[in-house]
Amino acid sequence: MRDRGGESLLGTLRRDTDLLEERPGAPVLGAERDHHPFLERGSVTSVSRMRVVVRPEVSVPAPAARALLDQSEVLIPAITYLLPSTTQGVTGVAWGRPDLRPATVMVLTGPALTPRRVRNFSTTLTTGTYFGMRGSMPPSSHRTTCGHPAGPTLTARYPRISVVRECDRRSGHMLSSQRNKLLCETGPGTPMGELLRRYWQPIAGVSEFERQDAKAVRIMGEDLVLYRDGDGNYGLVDRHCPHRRADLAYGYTEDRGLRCNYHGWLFDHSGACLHQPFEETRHPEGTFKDKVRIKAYPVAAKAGLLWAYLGPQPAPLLPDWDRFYSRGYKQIAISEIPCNWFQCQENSIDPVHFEWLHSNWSMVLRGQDGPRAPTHTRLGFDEFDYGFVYRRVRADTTEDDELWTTGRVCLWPNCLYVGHFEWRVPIDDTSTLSVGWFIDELPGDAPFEQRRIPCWHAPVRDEKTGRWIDTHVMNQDYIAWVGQGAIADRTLEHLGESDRGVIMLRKRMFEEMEAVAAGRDPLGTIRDPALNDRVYLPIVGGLNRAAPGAGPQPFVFLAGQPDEVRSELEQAWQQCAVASGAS
Amino acid sequence: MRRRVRRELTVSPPPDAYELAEARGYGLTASDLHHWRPLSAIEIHWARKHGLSPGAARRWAREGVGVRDAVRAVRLRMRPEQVRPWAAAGFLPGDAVEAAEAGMTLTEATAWRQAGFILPDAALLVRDGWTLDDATAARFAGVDRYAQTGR
Repeated sequence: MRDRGGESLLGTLRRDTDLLEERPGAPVLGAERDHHPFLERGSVTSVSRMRVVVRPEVSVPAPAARALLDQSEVLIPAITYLLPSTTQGVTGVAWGRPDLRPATVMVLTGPALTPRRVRNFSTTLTTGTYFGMRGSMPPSSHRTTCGHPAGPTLTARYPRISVVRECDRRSGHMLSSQRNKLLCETGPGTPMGELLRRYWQPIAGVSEFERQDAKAVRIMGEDLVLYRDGDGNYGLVDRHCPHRRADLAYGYTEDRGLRCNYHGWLFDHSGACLHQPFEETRHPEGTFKDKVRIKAYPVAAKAGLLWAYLGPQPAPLLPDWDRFYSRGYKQIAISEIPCNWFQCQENSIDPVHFEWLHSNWSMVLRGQDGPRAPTHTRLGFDEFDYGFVYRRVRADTTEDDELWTTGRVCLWPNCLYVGHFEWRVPIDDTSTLSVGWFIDELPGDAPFEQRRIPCWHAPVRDEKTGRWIDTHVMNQDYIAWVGQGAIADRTLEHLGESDRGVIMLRKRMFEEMEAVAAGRDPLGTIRDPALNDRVYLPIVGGLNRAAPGAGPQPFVFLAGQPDEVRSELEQAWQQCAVASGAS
Repeated sequence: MRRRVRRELTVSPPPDAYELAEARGYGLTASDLHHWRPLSAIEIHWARKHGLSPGAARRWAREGVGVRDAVRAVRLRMRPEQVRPWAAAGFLPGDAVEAAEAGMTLTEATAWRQAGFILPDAALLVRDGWTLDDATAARFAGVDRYAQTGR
């Protein structure tokens, strides 16, 4: 066994005969050639941190494998497992770099390697970063044989490798820190990052671009610039110019794109470089600009929001939720929460917190001594195409109540829908963009058209005291979330009956990360345009709820609503009330 | 808050406009609601999506297992009556499915519960390779620390 650089060993891999499912026809994810000569023969190897999909199209004899391993500092050392030298030295080796995107794992096989031996290997792991790698072979129909003449191509299925699970138990923690990382880390190449990148994410309000052309944004650890060019196209590109790394958030927009303020290179929303002023002056026939691209992601506008898709193409459709079309006054509020996104999303499937964090605590904050809120007596959970529905019975309700019969939606993967939407978009692993989309029903049924949906930024701290604002519903949520720490340490939790939804959510997240790693579309992505027409979401009270009779209600969700937004709502209310009275 | 009476499995009232709207949202008709009653629209949607028949869904419902869990149970080739011992032991009927997915027996699940773990939590831990002893020691290590210092 190889002990890399004298690092300590974590433990023996557990051999698990419970092989991962085979998926005929499944695509190889993120296939990327490595520059190593053995892989330039056309082998395709891919991996994610959760699942390794290996096509061992390359076979090399043991000496070559050993030599390659010796060079492997370039490639590793996130995981290295050696197949035992049961016959003649190193018979095979696989290694990978899950810190790369896409990570690379290669399998080399030696002449002595047989399927039976592969299935029966046990080995050791070196220290490093382990993220639940599991290996499996594609079905035989997808195997190709371009192996080295000196040895056979590997034709075995790999044992399931429960790296993380082995580490969990040894760590002495409940949900291990490794598993916690899986849920929390969303940077490029991380399993959760790969999952969330399969969805359109709201990142700004359309109305924000009435007064600016470009703004810096950070989404899932990627520093980007969101802009609108003179032709009305939105772009989301790398924050740094590929020329000399200047900050494109200070660039200026033109009809066809964003121009760097440093030397004037111009990029369009597809990432193409359209103009390099001095280069083109010196070399009018040059093609340098055609060789330069900038990272660019598609952006779409819908419901007053700007949505970005940071995943692989083809992108799924941007969901066309039915609620976007409800009659009413709409507004968007955005906050930055200094904690990890996942503890925010867990709140989306935690019915009991409402009783304590919002009802009872609000009463305490108001100095009231009255009876406490009705207690929860029963919870239920259902699943549908776009997430979970959580249902509750309280002491003052029965199973005939809509809180039970209809329930509320934990919208997959990072949203709460309760008539309004609350997305929790990771800025990075310790901060979250809370994007709220709200609607106030208006009186009557006369047509109402809102020219623009205002977008405002909600403060989270009280400027005078420096404490978190606690007066509004979502602000109270924020206090709970940030109180859990920048990244909640789930190794210290003690879960109970109120956490059934949270456990269900975590379990499904792990499953969906695996689905993505295996090349499948995760839950809730829509690709059929016929299905993406005013997509239904369950809503207590129905989609077209009556407006409150007493006039526009105070905005209870977030502190800091601007006066002009409040004023617009009142005007809309008056307009509809008059129209209704007239009709 | 809208409320209406849905009494017994076999006498649920005809759907009202609200329920019909909800059913349409799930791609269902009034006839579907009638055919599947007393299941709710979301349950019917999920059952149809996963090939669970109305009769099977009702059989599971009579044992207290909702459609979501019933779909998983059928995948595991469980029978509705298999949840009865679990219910009799004080578990939610759906817990039997969760346990089956994790390969836990009723005896094991009971031991985990007695040690302070709700079943879905225990099932996740079992899948992650935890033994009950290890998990108990890990879970209560922090709490015990306070107990030892007199808190």
